[in-house]
Amino acid sequence: MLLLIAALFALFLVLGQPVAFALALAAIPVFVLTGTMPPTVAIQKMVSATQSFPLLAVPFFILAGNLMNVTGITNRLVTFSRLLTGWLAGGLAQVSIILSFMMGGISGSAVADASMESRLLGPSMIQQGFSKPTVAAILAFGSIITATIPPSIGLILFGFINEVSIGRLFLAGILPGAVLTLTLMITAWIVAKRHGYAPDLAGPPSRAELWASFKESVWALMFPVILIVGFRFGIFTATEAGAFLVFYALFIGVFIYREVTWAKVREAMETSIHDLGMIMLLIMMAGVLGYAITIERAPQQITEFVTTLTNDPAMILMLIVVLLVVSGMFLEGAANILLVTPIVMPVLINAGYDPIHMGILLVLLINLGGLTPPVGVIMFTVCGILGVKTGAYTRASVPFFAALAVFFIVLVMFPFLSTALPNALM
Amino acid sequence: MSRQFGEIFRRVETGCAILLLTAIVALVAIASVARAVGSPIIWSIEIAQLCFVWLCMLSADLALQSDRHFGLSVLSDALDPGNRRMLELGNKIVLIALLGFLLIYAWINMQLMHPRLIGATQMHGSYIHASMVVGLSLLLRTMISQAYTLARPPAKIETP
Repeated sequence: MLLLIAALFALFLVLGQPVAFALALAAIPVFVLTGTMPPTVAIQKMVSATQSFPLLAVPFFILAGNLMNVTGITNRLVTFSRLLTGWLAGGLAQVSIILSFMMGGISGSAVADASMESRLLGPSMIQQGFSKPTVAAILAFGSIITATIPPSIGLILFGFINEVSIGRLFLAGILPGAVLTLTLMITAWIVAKRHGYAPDLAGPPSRAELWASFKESVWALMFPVILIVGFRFGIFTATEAGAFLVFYALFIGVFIYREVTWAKVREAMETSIHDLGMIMLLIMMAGVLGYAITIERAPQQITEFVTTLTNDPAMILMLIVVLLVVSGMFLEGAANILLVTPIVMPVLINAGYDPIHMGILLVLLINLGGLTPPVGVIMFTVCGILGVKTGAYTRASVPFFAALAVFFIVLVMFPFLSTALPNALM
Repeated sequence: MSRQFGEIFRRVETGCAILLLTAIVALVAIASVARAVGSPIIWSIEIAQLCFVWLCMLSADLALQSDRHFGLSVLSDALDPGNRRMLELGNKIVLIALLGFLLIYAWINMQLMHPRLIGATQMHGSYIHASMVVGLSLLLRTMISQAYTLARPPAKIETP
């Protein structure tokens, strides 16, 4: 039956059915053919997938992010990023990477970040002499930083589906996010030096300029800080923090920047509702398929299969990394987190790995899939907006892939990068 | 006429979804403040979760209307326009069958759940599970409308 589920899912995916519906089309035959569960159970599973308090964080963070975008915060952060790094070699490339780090605390989604930066910085970078494929590679790779910075939607989904504390995951993502930012900035610097890309600014800014820009952006930069302080002192849960941040974003827009109008709030809400509909239908259908494969004992069978291959934790991790990179190439990030991670997490925990450390690693690996052919969503977003062929993008991505490989080795070898902050603060 | 009806439908759905989203944010915020001051309101989270399942179904339909449910386009990209249209139509017919099937069981499930009283509010289970009946009906309506548009000859689609 497990093979039938996998075959049906692959078939409907190739035929071009939306992933959410392909999940249901693969799962429903289990209910019909086995005869042990009535299809009403499938409906109940769809409903119960939504009845989780931690999951309420998803609409809140999506809405808070969209509200922040209409408050004019993005432009302020671009100015601050330019002053901070625009004078380095590869000026605007550095600006885009540091902007992803700071925007991570707002958008929470790599695709949203990549699309925003491609529109905002892409044309200026090309105008300054960057080759189009290099621009696409820099913007796509930079965007995956957002997957680790709170409030990352990927981490919320991972915490929800694998029953890992979302608060701890949020804290755990910060240091790896900072290391990834540094790694990509160094790579961009090397690429810029090799191609002779000039800095964006003639020289470093004065302290007064930097301070003035920092004061303008501080409200957005406070976003993740408030989360950390809130979790540390037990003031709120991740879900409550989401609701609080919606009010915070509205407060900034109305009283501090005074750029928010009712039309803009409505626009942010409509965008959030569309984003939410896409993610939640996926979660509901994944709930049905997840139940079907649990009944068919998929996690146990996979654990048993892996342990027949090897008992060495390092080899087990290696196998799972390969599995995730390959599945990430074919499946969108949220679907991958909801489908694949619940199957591989028991294997990893059984092998002695820390769930928080693995959470950060797996979510980043899944996002890596978004950067690669054949169906990398981030790759398609950036290439589509900038008009770059995926072949040229892939060639320009080689240095960044090499940098990410080094980063992943460091992340695996030094678990404290992920565990230090949650252990110290929670 | 049908386009006008579709637009009115979309606006009403969007309005309801915005109201639900606002209610959820307010309910969770009120609940967290009440908890912080030592007098928790137990029903607020239950109502927020009730609103959430309704919001999920409405927003899933709105996302379907604006083609936000992504899938692979490897096969359809490889086909000529005529065959691509046939493939898309075939896919939509399969989904109409799936949604129709799920809708029948959502209706049975809603009736099954009605006598069950849930949580502190003791609300009927059908209040939650009716969201599936309504949501699947909306998804089915959108899917039929998209299949109908696709099935019409291309020349007619292009006329304003």
